[in-house]
Formats: sequence, C-alpha cells, structure tokens
Amino acid sequence: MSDERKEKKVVAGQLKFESELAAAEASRLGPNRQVTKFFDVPVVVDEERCISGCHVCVESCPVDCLAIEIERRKAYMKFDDCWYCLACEVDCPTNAITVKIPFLIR
Amino acid sequence: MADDIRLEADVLVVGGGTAGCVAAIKAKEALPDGIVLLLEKANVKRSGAIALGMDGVNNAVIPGHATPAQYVREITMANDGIVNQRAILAYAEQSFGMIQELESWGVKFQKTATGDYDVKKVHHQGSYVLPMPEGYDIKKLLTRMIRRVGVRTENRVMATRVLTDEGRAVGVVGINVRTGEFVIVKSKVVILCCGAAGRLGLPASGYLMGTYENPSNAGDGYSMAYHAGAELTNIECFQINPLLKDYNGPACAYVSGPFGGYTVNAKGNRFMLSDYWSGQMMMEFYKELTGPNGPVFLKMDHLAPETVSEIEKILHTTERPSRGRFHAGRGTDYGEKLVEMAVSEIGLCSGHSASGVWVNERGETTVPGLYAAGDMASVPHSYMLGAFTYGNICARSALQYLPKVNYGTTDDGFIERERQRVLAPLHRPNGIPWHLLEYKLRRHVNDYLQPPKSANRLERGLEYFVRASEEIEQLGAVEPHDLMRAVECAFIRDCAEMAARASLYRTESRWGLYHYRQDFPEMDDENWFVHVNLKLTSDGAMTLFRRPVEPYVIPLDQTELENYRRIRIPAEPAMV
Repeated sequence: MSDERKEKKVVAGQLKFESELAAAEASRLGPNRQVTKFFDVPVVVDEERCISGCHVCVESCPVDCLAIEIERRKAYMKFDDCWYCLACEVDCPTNAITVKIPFLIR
Repeated sequence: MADDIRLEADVLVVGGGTAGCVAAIKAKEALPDGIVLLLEKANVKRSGAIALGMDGVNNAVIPGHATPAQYVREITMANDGIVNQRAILAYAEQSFGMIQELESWGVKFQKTATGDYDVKKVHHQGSYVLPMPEGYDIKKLLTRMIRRVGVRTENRVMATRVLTDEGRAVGVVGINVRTGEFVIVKSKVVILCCGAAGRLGLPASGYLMGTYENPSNAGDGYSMAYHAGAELTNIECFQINPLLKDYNGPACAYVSGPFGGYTVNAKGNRFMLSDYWSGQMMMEFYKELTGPNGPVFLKMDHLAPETVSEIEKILHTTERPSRGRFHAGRGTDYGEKLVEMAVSEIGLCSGHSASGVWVNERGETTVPGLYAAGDMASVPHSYMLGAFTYGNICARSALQYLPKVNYGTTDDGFIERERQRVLAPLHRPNGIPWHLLEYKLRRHVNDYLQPPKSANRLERGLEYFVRASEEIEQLGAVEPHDLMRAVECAFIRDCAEMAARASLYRTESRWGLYHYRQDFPEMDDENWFVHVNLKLTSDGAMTLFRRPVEPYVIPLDQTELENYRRIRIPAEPAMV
C-alpha cells in the first residue's frame, strides 16, 4: 500500500472538506443531484376545455404557479406553490380548472 | 446595463393589494398630470390579502353604531395600552368616509331593510363588524378604478430594496419575476403597501404555502423598510390566529358569530366571552386547546339549516372559498359536526396584531419620502378597512410632500451591489433550492419563536437566523420564478431575526399569547409601558430601543384598560 493511501485513513466524524458549506457545494456539483418529482399537484386543467391562446388563469394566480405549455398551448401547474385560493378556477372562462386541496392539508 | 428596465414616477406605490390600490387611485386622482406607478409582484386583479375578496369589514366605525373615541378605547384595551392613539383615531375618524367612497366605486356593504348599515357585534365591547356578503368582487372593482383614473401598473415586478438619497426614499429596485430582468424605478416619493410577513412560521401541516396570509406576502415591506433605515415597532407582538386546523384559513367566527356560532372546547362549552382576535383571547384559546378540555371547535351544529346554508354561502364563496372543498373532503358539515380549530404559526401583521413599520397618523415612516400602509404599517388591528383608509392617508401625505422634492440622486454603486445580490442565485443553478432553505428557516421559527417564548429558545433561534445569511448566499435558481422565491427567503430571514431580537428585548409578558415569556410571565408596566422599536444603524447592526407611548388623546382608566384580560368564562361549578 502506498504512503498516500495509508494517510487516507478514514476517521469517523472527520470532515474531508474545509467546511460544511464546501461539502454541500461539492455534493451539489456531483452527478447524484436529486430531482424533485411533482405528483398530485393541486391545479388540474381539463385540456379539452382549456382554450389555446388564453392565459387568464396564468395572470390570475397570486403566486404565479401556472404557465402555458408551449407545444400544447394549454395551461398547467408549473411550480408547486399553490395557495388553493381558487383564483384560476373562478376566473377561467370555460370552467376548465379544478383546484384540489393540496395533499398535506387534505 | 442594457437589459435593465428603467422607470420613473412622481408617486411610486409598491404593492397592489388593499392599501396599494387605494393609495394609487387617490394619488392619481389628485395628480392627473403626474405619473403614479403601481408595482405588483402578482397581478393587481388577484393579489394581496383580499385576492378572492372579503366577507366583511371587521372594524367599521359607523355613526349611530360606534364613535371614534369608543373604537380607540377598544383597540387600546386589545393592545394592553401600547398604542399610538393618534394613528388609531385618524383611522376611526376617516374610515366611514372611506366606506362611502368604496360604495361609490361599487363595493356593496350589508344594509338592513330600513337602509341602515347592518353592523354586528363581535368585539369584546363595541359593534364594528359590517358584513359584505357580495365582497368576492372587491379586487375587480379596485382594478377597474385603477384603469379608469390612469394609474400605470407594472404587474409581476417584485421590489427588493428602497433606494435612498441622503436618507430620503427616491425609488426602488427589484426584479421582474417572469423574466428575471432587473428593474430600477426612480420616484419622488415611495408608498410601501407590501402586506404582512405571512410566510414566517411554518404551518403545522408542513405545507409551505398553507399560510393564513396570501403567501406572496413574505415580509417584503418589513425587510425593505428596515434596510432603508426606517424604524419598525411592536415586532414581538406576533400575529397568531385561531384558524381551521390544517386548512389554516379563518374559521370564521366573525361571520358565524352574528348568526349564533361560537368557539367551544371539546366538551362543547363556551370558554371565552368574545371571539374577537386579540392576544388575550389567543391566550385563552391556547390554554383550552392544549389543556384537558382541548381541542377547540367552532360550533354551528345548533343552528337552523337555513342559517347554516347562509353561513356556507358566504364562507365558501369569499376570501378563502376552498374552505367548502376542504370540509367536504373531511366529511365536515357545519350543521352536523363541530369544526376543529388550531393555533396558527406566527406571522407579523398589524392588520391583526400590531407589528409593523412605524407610521404616524399621516402614514409617514421615519424615513422622509417613505410612507407605509396596510398590514405592514404599525396601526394595530387595522384589517382591510384600515388598509384602505391608510392607503388614502398616505396618498394625501405624499402629495403634500411632493411639491417640496424632486427626483433624488440614485447611488449607482448601491444599485450594482443590489443587482449582484438579487440575481446571484441565477448564476448558481445547482445551489440550494429555495424550498429547502425556506423550510429550514420557517421550521426554526416554529422551534424557537412560537410562543410560549423564553430567552434560551429565542437565543438558539437567533443564532441560526444569523447563520442563515450564509446559507442564503448559497441559494440557487434556474427560473425567474425560483429567483423570486430565493429573494423572498432573505425577506423571511430578516423578519425572523427581527422577531427573535424584539422578543428577547422585551423582558416581560404582554398581549396574551402574542408575547408570552415563560421566563418573565408578568406584565411589567413600570419598565415596559413603551414600544420596542428597532432599526438598522449606520454600523450595520440591528439596534433595539424603547419608544415612549405618546400621551393618550382618549384617556382610559386602569379598570377599562384591563377589560380584555377578563374574557375567560370560569368553568361551571361541578354538579352537587
């Protein structure tokens, strides 16, 4: 075993980085970065009723969590910060939106 | 830089909610040839605390039902005496005029068959609640007025700092939350109407956006005024509300109370005389909730079916209309089951308690050219009508100041540093996601700041909030939307630090649960009959100090002052 390998003795609890912040930075740059997967989002859009080119709901949302999916030209919930206030549902001209109570609160 | 959006205005209003809409409308009416600019981080038609309307006015001072002096007395009692009465009196005297003006804009208030305002009693002493059963459209009416008078509106722009020139407010900088563009606004006066710090504590559900306040109100105004050098006050007088458990919306005893609904313990017994929200009431609520007779419920199952339907019609269409959907999912029918309630997480909000940027009866902060109104300004218990009325007062004061000033000189170095600070997360796409840091900040708020308070816990919290500044510098954002949330984390952190320091500073208990210090459980008028104010001093430190309570204009004797401390209904004696 080379001297270099010997020196790399693992000591439990000893940080291999200068600080926790440096370690956190390294882990974020690594390939094992987690990607959040959304599920069961509160805002449900009935695409049959949703009018292409309309963006009333996107403008109504107080937390700006809705967007138009560019290829399909339909509204969807893009960011997971719904306040379940129903502004989008109330303002939708074709009644295409249903807002569910978010899972953690349901 | 070429990519910046540069705007100029005579009067700049930041925040297009309740107060901001009125401030902008009234300023523009008085300044037909000038530019009145309204910045809103959402869209004015659905923004702020009343995005989905409001079911009533909670503090109407209507001639024949209440007098301004009566109202000032009531709010003084509800705040254990620590109030600037002149500011409350200005509201009380001008709010009826505001109601009449709102009516001329199309807002409908409930009237009796004889045409009188249908005022209800909810407060401990007087009658100030005026229902608005058709209040769901109020934001649309305000938006229409804004267009009609010619206010220039920039939606989806979030201000991040107030610009100052030798201590005077001369504009703001911010970002467009859709495009990530940096925005620089020069103005002669600035009126901040940015709402509560509603995303401070973490809801017990763990859902970040499951807040009572509109979650867009992240304490932006508190933080911006602080960094501009303004004084803030009563920060330790937290907002804690009795809410529908998990849903975290109002129950809402103000609506159901006049119909016969009331708060009970698990045995079905009433335990307090008044359901009006005050620190003293919250203390009784908290004791009952956590005691052997908890939890606490809103009782409506004794009401006639027609009455229940009428309550449902209001509660399920206005303010938080998804209440009905929430109850349906749980199988709760108001007419058949008690509705479970809980104590909310903490927030800062003068609309319900008393924390805010210090303002006087003219809406002036301690920074020249900077005005504040609504939930972020220090007029206590001011609710929606207080925001409307002080929006109007701020516009009037700002216009009186306007002829004396011109555009100031903006500090390019400051603007450049602020650009770097605000846009930095976009250069760290792999940085800490905002929701992780926000969760951590707000979880620490719950762990260490949620009453009951003690110095040991508060200091532990403060230690983290100071350290969190470093973590904020590690935030990452891929989209402008994430950038908005990342910048909001800094607002939340600032508010948490203020809340910890102000709570530590006042070594007594006051305002019932709002500032209940277990290590100083008694009220100490001798040493603490003062406001605790804080500000950023030139050495960069958060400095706390006592500000005397100004002499009362409406005197109260000591017995009267203690009225709100006597709202507990003693337990029924055991049957012999």
